[in-house]
Amino acid sequence: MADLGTSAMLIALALAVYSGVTSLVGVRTRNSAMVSSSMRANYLTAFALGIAVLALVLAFLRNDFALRYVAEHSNLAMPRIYTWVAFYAGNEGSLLYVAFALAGMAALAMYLVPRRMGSQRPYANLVLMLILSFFIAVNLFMASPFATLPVTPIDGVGINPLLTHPGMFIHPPLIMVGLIAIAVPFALGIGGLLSGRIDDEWVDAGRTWGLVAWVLLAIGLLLGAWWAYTILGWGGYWAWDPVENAAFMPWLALTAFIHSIMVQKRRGMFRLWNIALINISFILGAFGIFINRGGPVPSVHSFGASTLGWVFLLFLGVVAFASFGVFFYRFALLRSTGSLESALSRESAFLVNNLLFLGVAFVTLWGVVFPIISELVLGETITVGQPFYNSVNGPIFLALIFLMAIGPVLPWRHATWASVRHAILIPGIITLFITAAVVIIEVRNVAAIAGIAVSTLVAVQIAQEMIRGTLARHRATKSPYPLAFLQLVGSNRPRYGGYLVHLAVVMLAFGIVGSSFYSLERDVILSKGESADVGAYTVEFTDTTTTTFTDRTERTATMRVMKNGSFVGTVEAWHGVYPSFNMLSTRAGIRSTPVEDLYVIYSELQPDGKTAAFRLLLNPMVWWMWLAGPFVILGTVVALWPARQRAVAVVTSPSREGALPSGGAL
Amino acid sequence: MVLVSGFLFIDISIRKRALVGALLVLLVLASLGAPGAVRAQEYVELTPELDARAADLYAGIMCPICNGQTISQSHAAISETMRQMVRERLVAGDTDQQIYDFMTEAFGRDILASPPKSGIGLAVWFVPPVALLLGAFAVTLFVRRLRSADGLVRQGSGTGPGDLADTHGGTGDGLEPYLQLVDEEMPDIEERP
Repeated sequence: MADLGTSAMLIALALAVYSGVTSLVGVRTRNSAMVSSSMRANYLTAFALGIAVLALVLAFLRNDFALRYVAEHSNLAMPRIYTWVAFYAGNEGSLLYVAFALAGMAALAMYLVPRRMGSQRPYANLVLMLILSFFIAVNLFMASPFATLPVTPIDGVGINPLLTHPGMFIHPPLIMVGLIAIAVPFALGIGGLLSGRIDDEWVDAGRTWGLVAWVLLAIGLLLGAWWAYTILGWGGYWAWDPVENAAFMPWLALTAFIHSIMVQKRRGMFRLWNIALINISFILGAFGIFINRGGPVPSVHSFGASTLGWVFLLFLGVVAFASFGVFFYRFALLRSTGSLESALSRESAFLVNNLLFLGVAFVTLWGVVFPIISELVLGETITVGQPFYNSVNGPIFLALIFLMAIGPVLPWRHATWASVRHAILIPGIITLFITAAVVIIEVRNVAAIAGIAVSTLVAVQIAQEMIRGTLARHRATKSPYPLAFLQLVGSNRPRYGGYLVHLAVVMLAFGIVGSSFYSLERDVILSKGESADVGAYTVEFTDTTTTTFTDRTERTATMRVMKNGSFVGTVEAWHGVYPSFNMLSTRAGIRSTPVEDLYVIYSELQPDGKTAAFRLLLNPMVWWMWLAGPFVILGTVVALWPARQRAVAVVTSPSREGALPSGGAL
Repeated sequence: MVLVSGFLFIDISIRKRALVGALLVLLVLASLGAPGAVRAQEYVELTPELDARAADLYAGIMCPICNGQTISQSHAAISETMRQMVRERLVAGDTDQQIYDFMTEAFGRDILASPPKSGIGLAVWFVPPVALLLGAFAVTLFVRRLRSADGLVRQGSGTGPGDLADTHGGTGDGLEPYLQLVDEEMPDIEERP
């Protein structure tokens, strides 16, 4: 297996290098046969890496402990299903996984990119193959999963027991693919620039792949939050941990990008800005990879000492330098064709959106980088943690949500205050009433009230848009209401897909406001039969069971839950103690309702065997945060769904013919 | 990638940097005569009001030996002890600031989850608002330049049909109502974000 895997990777590296070189030479010498050859080499690279992946999977399945990676991350007792996790449990396997994912996406992107993109296509392929070659080379020569041991052990070390959780099946691979997927829109943008063609052909493909990377990261982050909430056992879902931030920052920049690219798609403006945004996104993605690899900051995502830190720091430097190098080299070509007619327009709303998203990304980057600077330059250790991020990023997010109520209803080019009033008058009034009700019932905090107010405004405003649109459709086509609604969504998928995602953001906002400002928390010690109150709930500790395994001791506590004195059910809180890993793993007992979650953590059993320490939490509205995930996926699918052929024909031909001569004139 | 190797696990393994903290902690504990873990009979129960304050305080104090976790999140014995110390100070009637001072004196300044608003810590708080203001200023300039560029573009490149829609100029050419109409009709023909 080792030989097969290594050979496959060597062939993949050769193919990737060949594909890059022939792309460049082919496009420079206008040799279209050579360009076709380079594309075929691109597809074959993915195929070769697929064989390497298969070889590693087979090695795991056959317990081939001659391979160091297999011996270190599995053993005979490991259930076969965990091969999926063991595959990327270490540096070597995860790099192979990333390289394979990148190769697959690069092949798909080049296959799907319209031929009319002409010379932009081989240049984009060149950029992709450069990045891919880097990853394959590092994987092959510095961290090979196919390295063999001098003596074949009888059994492997085994997988980290804490990795054997279903959550591990989806969250890490999604984040990894999401981070590397940014390479595709980045390559399309930079490839377009390198080719020297200034038209907007890269915009459609760039937007599509930008959205793909965006949704992968979004779902990866949400799953991480969900998993932290159910497993970590502190009632939280987001800690502003450096590694979380490392995945969050590129997502923020991508969010700015997928909004801003619409301005170029529709109006031919912000050409410079969109290239800058996709550059920033990919640089932040490279920074994320570096933070994960090099580990210069302490993080909850414990990772073994890695010797690859400097390699990825170098990669980050080269990406940053090269991307903005190309950007300034082609600066003169990137003049916008359109112009801004009014400061009050969809275009300027997008600009404010971009400012705010990059603002959050900057604040987060500052918080990650400052402790490193402080320690290196001043020799003073400073922690920048949650309170900083919450109090600085909180208001920016508030402004962003408010913008979600205004921006989407502003017309392009030129809006009037009357149009704004028309859009938010009714939602504004409804919001006022709801907010007043909230203030009367429960006043805690100005920030919480503001958060509830802006989120309500957005939710009501989107509902109003959908109702108005459906009614108009119904009048025009006489379709029944449900059909009229579907027709409405179908008539403008990017817009209504966007609304669905905005609704998901509102759900997240409600969950975050509820759990940050209205959460109740108590630490209690209970003997069997005793109970404690938290909010309207009474929790009674009825029993605990202990099961001992070779590697761990598991305990489950059963709690009877009463609400306002009447019995509503039982919850089971679990924990496991792993002496050899010096770890305590908890799984909270959660009773989840749309209004609030009762959350019980079993932290310790006292030596008498009858008394235990618990932490009880009441987290309002968290249920909604997990509903946001399906909405994000649904919204993105709607937004990405290809438009009808008729619409494509109408849209593309005039803009293409128009853009070329005018571009030449500039 | 590391998101892989340990996302979301409680890692209470001691690292180099943390070792110093741990030694410090042991010294402090020895001097206080406190036991490692909190026993049931010593557990300080709090009133609901104090419980709420305790939760905020826990979230503001880092566990000295667990990477990146506050004592509200960590299950390490030291966090348990530190939570108990916070509860004791709360019952004794200390203000939040007094408790933070007490804890930093015992465990060092870097257990504060957010930097103090003084000295070098001030820079952490100071830079983001300044950067945002600069960004807002840049956007304003950009908008103004785009608006004044309007006339130039109209003269420079009004040739292609694709440009017609973009170069009509915002004022005075009487096209406004028609363009408005076009914008309203557009969604039926073309995608719109």
